[in-house]
Amino acid sequence: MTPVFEFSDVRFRHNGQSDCALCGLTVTIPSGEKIAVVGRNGSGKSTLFLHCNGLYRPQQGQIRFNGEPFSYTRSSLRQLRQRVAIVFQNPDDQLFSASVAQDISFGPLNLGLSQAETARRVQQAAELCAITHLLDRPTHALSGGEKARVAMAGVLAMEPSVVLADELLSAIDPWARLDIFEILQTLHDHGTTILLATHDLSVVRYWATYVIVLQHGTVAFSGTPQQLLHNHSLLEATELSKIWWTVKLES
Amino acid sequence: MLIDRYAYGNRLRHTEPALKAGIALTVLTLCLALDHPLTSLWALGWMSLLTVAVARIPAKVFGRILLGESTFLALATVGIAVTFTVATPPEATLWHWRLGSLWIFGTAEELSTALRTVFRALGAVSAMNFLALTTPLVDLVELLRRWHVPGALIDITAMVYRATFLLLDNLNRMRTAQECRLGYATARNSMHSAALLGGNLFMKTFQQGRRFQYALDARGFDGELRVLPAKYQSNPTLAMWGVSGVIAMLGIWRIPV
Repeated sequence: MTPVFEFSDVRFRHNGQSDCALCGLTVTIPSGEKIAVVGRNGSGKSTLFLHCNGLYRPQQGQIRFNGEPFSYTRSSLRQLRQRVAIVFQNPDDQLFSASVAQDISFGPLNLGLSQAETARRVQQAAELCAITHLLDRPTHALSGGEKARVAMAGVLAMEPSVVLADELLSAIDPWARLDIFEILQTLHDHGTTILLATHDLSVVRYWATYVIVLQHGTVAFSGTPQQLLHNHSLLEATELSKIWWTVKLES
Repeated sequence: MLIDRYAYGNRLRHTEPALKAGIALTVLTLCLALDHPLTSLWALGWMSLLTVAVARIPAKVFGRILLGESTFLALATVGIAVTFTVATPPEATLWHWRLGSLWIFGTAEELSTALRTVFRALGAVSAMNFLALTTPLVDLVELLRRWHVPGALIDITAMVYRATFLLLDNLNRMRTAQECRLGYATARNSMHSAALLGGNLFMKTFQQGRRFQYALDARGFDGELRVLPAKYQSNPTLAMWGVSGVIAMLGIWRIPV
């Protein structure tokens, strides 16, 4: 199967920073998998995701999407963002509109869909994320878990083939996490590729079908969770052994 | 924030905003144009009735908002009703005090002008209160869109509305964090804490704006914030109330004062 993304020696440095955020990152991201992207803060997870969506442009190296090199023209980016959606770590960064229904409708309308089709997608995404009762509510009156589900609905209404979720689980309670996992599972069942940035190794063990470990802007490991978790020296090398005990406790 | 909460939770929430805005703007215009104390008093009573009895906004809340506005208006009109002078006041004063060489006095004409101004302003303000307490900003933005107000202006209004809540949220969090570490403990310390808070808030807001931009771009933003128009219910009863109220205002205007 064609990989969904191929990064070749991608380098990127944020303005005014001396260290690189991505330092020659090379990785192949398989299609149709539930992928956990693991790494410490500053390891390059968010930067990687922003490159996948075309929001950042590599300063060196190349990215391919479904075998085709990225093009950064307006129309190409529009096509890319129709297929690759990103849910941000803090839903407040994403929810701009005053009402939930209007916020969800923003993406589909930008795709040039009719109001009737947009309304259908808003309803469908709201049902999938169990937020139909919130559609009329103002976005500032939602709880953290509700905001996360609304942010998720906002990208699902665009019906993407790849969903990037950037540490979406970090600021929500365990019940809301379960809701998010249910949504992600439904998406995966429909063939969507999911990349979830996380610090939580239990996600790697119990949810992911593929793992990418980032370290200092490069890929320290990519493969199946079994290959990672049963390889003690690899866990040591990637500094994951220090947090591995949390998964053992849970099990 | 109080107004926002009631705007979302009143009985006229789903009523066509054009109707509510039409009533409010007509009353506001008549109050200003007719400049008749009885008309203004009628507008005040009628708008209060619509807000409290029809929209079911608690009378206490409506009263509290009106009291705040009345206090502000009363203070603002003191300048009209009271005259300070070192010269001898005219003969026909309603009241006067003398403090050394300073005379403080008021005439019947000045008092009448002040009262007319207060009533006129209160009538107009009550119409605006009716609109603000029954119509969330999202509906007003939608209305502006239908009235073909330039898109950029509407987008800025919507973003500022959303950003206000984020800003307040950030402000409260930062202030709490400062208070936990003895910020605002003394007058000098308060100045320092407030300055630090202001600087940080500016930086945070700037960063938030950039993240907003990324999130919008990620969902295909091309310069215009397109969203689905909301659906509203017609309300013939309110329309009837509106027409009757305006006719009554015009009728009262004929009464000489």
